[in-house]
Amino acid sequence: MTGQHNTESQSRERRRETPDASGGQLAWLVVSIVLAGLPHILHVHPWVPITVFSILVWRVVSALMRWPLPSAWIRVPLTMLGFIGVLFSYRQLSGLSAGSALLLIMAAMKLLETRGHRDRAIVVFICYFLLFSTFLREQAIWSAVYLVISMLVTTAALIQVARIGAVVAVPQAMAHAMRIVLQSLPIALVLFLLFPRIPGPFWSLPNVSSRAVAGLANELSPGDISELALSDEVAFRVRFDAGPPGAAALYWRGPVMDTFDGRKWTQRGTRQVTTPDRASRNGPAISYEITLEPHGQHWLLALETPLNWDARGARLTTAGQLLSKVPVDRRMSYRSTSLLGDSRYQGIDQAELDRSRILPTSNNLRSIAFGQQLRSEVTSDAEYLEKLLQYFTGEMFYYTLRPPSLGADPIDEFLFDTRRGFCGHYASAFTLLARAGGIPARIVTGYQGAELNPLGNYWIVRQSDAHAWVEVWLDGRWIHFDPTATVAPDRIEYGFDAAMESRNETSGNRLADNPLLLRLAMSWDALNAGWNRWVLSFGPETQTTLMSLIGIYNPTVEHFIIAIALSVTGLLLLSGFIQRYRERPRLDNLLAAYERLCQRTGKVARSRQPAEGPHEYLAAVCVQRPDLATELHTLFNMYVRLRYDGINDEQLRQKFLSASRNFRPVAD
Amino acid sequence: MNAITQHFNEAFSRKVQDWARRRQGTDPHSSHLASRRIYILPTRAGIIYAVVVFTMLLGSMNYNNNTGFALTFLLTSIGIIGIYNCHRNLAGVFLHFAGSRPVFAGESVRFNFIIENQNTYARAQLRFGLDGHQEICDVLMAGDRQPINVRINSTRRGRLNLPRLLLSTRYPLGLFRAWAWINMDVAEVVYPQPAPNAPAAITNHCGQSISGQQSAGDEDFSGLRSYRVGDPPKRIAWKTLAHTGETLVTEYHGGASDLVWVDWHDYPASNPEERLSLLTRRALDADMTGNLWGLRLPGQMIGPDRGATHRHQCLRALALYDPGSGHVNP
Repeated sequence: MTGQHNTESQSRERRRETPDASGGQLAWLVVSIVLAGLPHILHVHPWVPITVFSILVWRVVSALMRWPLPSAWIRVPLTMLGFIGVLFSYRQLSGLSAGSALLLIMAAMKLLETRGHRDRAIVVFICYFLLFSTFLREQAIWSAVYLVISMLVTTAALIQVARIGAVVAVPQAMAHAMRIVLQSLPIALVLFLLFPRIPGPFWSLPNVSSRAVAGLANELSPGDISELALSDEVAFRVRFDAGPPGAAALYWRGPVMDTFDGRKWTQRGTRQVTTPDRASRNGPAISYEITLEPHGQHWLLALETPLNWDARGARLTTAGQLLSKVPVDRRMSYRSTSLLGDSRYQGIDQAELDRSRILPTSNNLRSIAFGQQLRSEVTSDAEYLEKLLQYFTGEMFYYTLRPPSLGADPIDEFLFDTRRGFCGHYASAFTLLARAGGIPARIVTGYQGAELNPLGNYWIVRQSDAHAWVEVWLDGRWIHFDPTATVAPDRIEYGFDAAMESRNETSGNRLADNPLLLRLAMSWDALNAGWNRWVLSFGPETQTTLMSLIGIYNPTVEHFIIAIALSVTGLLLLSGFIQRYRERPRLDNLLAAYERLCQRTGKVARSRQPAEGPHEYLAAVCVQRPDLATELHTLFNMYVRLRYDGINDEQLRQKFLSASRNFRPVAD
Repeated sequence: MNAITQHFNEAFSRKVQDWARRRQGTDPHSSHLASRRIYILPTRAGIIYAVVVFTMLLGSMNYNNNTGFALTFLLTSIGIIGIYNCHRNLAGVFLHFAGSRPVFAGESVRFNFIIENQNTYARAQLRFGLDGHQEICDVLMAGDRQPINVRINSTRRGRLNLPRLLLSTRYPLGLFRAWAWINMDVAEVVYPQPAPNAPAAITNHCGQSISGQQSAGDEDFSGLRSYRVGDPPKRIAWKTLAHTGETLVTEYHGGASDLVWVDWHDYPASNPEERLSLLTRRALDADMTGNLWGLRLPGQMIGPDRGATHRHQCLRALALYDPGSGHVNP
């Protein structure tokens, strides 16, 4: 006659099992949605936060006024409306902005039907996803701090909405969430460090960031880099193993332009791989670590000329350019060693040399004629190049960031009319003239200089340090020339700011004037550099270094999986042991003292049987050892009074504890 | 289609239950829910959580976003730790059966239990009861014990076996549900539902006047005597008790003439269940008088006697009587 509970009561009881969200649970959910939604407010269409906010208010008011929740007849069309709204505003449902708009609306709509635990949990999950998508947009430290706090609140909400009955007090709930997150940290850390990072996206990346990434360009037509010169944005940070080289050697090599159409320089060179010719070294070797900000292109920066590097899959082209296998879409760190000075590369590409001689046929003819004229006056190429540099010094050339715009023959106009320009102008003109003289020449763009952050002991290279210089092919090697240095030598020696100051032009908003502000700015940058180096740019390179610490030099995915499995199991076992030790059953000291008393008695008489009470055991022992009878009687009686007569006498307790401790009977 | 799935689900859950039953056998009345007794699986919310975290992982890999990885792995780890916390919240609990009382058919039987936490950490949000419905034990501090009970509606007389019980928890995250099945060999008697009233007896086997409520003896006050266990509260002289503090009971003339037999053969026309229902009413009425009374069922005779034990014995016999065989079920 079992199972007499009928189905009607069962269904009634099931409803009771998953009651509507209590007021406290609703509050947790609303706070989670608000915290997770705030960072998205500025990135979605304004109607989205307004709608979400209205729904939240509606939900809270209806809870306070005990209105019933809207039926499916209202909810479903409302949700459809939200979807259609997103589709109309964004023309798509994927993509970061449309996605976050959709998630926000889903979270709010789900709040209108939080009937059971699962509905409430789904709201929390959507909040987690909103936090996650914030990270795709913004990875700065301050946002990480905000997201950690929001994540704690969301986790507290997850715990609270799983409860049956009232929620616990806010501090208690937060402490609980904090405890769980702290418990989770070790395993999370292991996964973070050891989860194999597979370079490259699986599917095409939607444009994550709407703003264009400022940096070096794939092409150079004089006038473009003026934008960069004013940008204080960090291009990369660098840490030298030994001391830094002199300021004049700090040429960070980037894209190399060898094709000129008369107006703009582009890099169209073959991407043939080469290795630098070690025998050609004519400068010291220097090792350093670069943390490169993402720029969406393939090039990696390195001092001239890179000898080796640990960036995965990166290769050196015959143009002397270090290229990454995949576009640099995230911060990355790599180590490199460079040979300072001009270098020769193995396997010279004749086609490349030929390309570096090509002159435009229809424009800049005055410049070409001028070059050819000048070349005919001297006997050697080296002499010709010397003459060119003298030309830039001798004539009234000015360095300026606001050059006049140039027409159809830009180099002609620059050389003979305006004579005002920045590095791009000088490098273009010098390259063209060199080619006019029959010498292969090309433009190298990159950065020049670096700024020391004494707090972090590293150097910052900013976008304003962008520079362009020239390489010419002389005596079987590429020789470095910087015509800009001839015009504004102080810029090259002391950095961009000094050059600007001497020319009475402002460079923007550097903080160099105020030492306190400078110090603050440097501390902030040091913090960011650490964050970038250890968190954001953590990747295959760092992981390989990490694995080499435990003796695995060429780790495969299997190695990582085994390492994760072992570490996680080890951590779980360890925490299990610690927990078991901390929670081991402890006898109260009265019982412990009694057990010890019986043990010692058992050594000189018979031992106590498991079922024997104190009285029986005492009687039995006294028969065996009448000499101990008095002492044992006193002790056992004390225990019996304390344990069974409910006497809560601290004095007696202490007396029993010390007496039993001192009881050391001797055997017969 | 739905019917097929449901059928499959039922068959599957029966298989699982049989397996668990074979695995752990019948539990003693004091059970320790050791780790090997605890089962744990993700809830539906837990499965959705896993899907969400996996999506985040794909997103982090695609965007090569280390902060995304960090959040993903933190959530993964919270999930893993959640298994441990949930299991730990249940494992090691003691469950003691603390008795139950017989009821009349239609009432609900309350099986009393005590749930005990002998460990050094508190437990929370334990659910205890039948498969369909569970009572909640919100907080069980370290070393604490709390009463908790299971109510089962009875519909028929007879023996009500305690079905398989469920002690479960979803604490703390609601992503996992740990549970233990408890099969205690406990049963309670359900008396027949008493008829609203029982007409006077139709036959008189002993040649004595068989009477129901209108027993002459009741009217005939003979004096006071001191209270004996089993005297009905109706007969206690409350006024005297209030005045003197002495518990006395009013006595009536009667003796042999007041002896009531509640007999199966009193109601030959009714069907067996109605008959038992009428007999139960008669037995209750007879018990109320405080006089000696007895029960006669085919093949069985109880009493005459009086008091709570006698009452229970008779009602139990009525509850377990099998009219088919003419015998009381053992």
